[in-house]
Amino acid sequence: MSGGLAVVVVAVMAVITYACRVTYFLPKQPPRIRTENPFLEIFPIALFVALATVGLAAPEGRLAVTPFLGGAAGGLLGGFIKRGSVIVVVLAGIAGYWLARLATGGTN
Amino acid sequence: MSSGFRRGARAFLVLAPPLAGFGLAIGVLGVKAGIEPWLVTAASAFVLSGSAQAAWVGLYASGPAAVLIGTVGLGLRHIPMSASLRPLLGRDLSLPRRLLLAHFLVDETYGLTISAARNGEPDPAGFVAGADVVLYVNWVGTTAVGAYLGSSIDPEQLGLGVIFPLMFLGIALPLIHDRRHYVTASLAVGLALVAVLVVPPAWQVTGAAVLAAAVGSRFK
Repeated sequence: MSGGLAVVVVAVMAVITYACRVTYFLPKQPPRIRTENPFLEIFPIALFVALATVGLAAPEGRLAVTPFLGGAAGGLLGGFIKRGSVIVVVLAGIAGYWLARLATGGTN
Repeated sequence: MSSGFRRGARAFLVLAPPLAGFGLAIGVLGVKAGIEPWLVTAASAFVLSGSAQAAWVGLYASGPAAVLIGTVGLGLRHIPMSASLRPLLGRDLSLPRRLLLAHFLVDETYGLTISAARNGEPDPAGFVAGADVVLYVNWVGTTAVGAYLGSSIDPEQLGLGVIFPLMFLGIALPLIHDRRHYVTASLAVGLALVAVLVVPPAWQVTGAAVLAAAVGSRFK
């Protein structure tokens, strides 16, 4: 990708992403969607669980047994110990990742 | 500066170190993929999407079409995100403020704000703005450091890639309370695993999340 084209691609990426983000921010009145809407209430759970699952189970784009699964186990254990703390989940997950990585010979 | 703003900024400080690791990795990997350091940094400022930027870096050699299709697939999740966040921010936001907040609608501050609002945060608009400012400075700054100074860093060797999904796990867990939430989370895991096998990468998360929420929302 040439320099000029790369700049255009970034600009279009910014426009696409912003257009998706601004949809419900444009009208002055909040959308007539109640916060009790069941889909919107549970969408954050589905989104973050899906993001975590894809990132931990398929870190290189395909399902594989990698130290990332050790990270998932550690993160879940951290969440079990202190559920409301993101940093405990992350630190426990990093510990699990490194334990798994060392146990499997130190490769990613 | 409202107290909600300060609470949001403080709340996001917890996420700043792990996010810094990911920003650093994006900067390093972007330059290694052949992108100019200033453009890697500009993407953080103007696109402000870790997943879209990771796809951009990964697909850079594949050309613009692959990158832009990926951006659409990853960007679509922001529509239901904005729909669920906007009602929490009240009716008094001016247009410039709404347009500005929209730029900062990112997974991490969205998750924190939803969680805070459900726990009784009285000023979600101030809270999200405070979290956004810390996130933005952190994200753009660490990407720049990675892009300009990180040539000797190997993100894979350091295991930085595991931090980002762990952050999402840490945001998801406190949101899960009742049976419907557990069912939805289980569905999201299963559908995400199936999506990895049969759906192009850029559509895996959006597809799995929307389908899991659609099915889970019907569960009593």
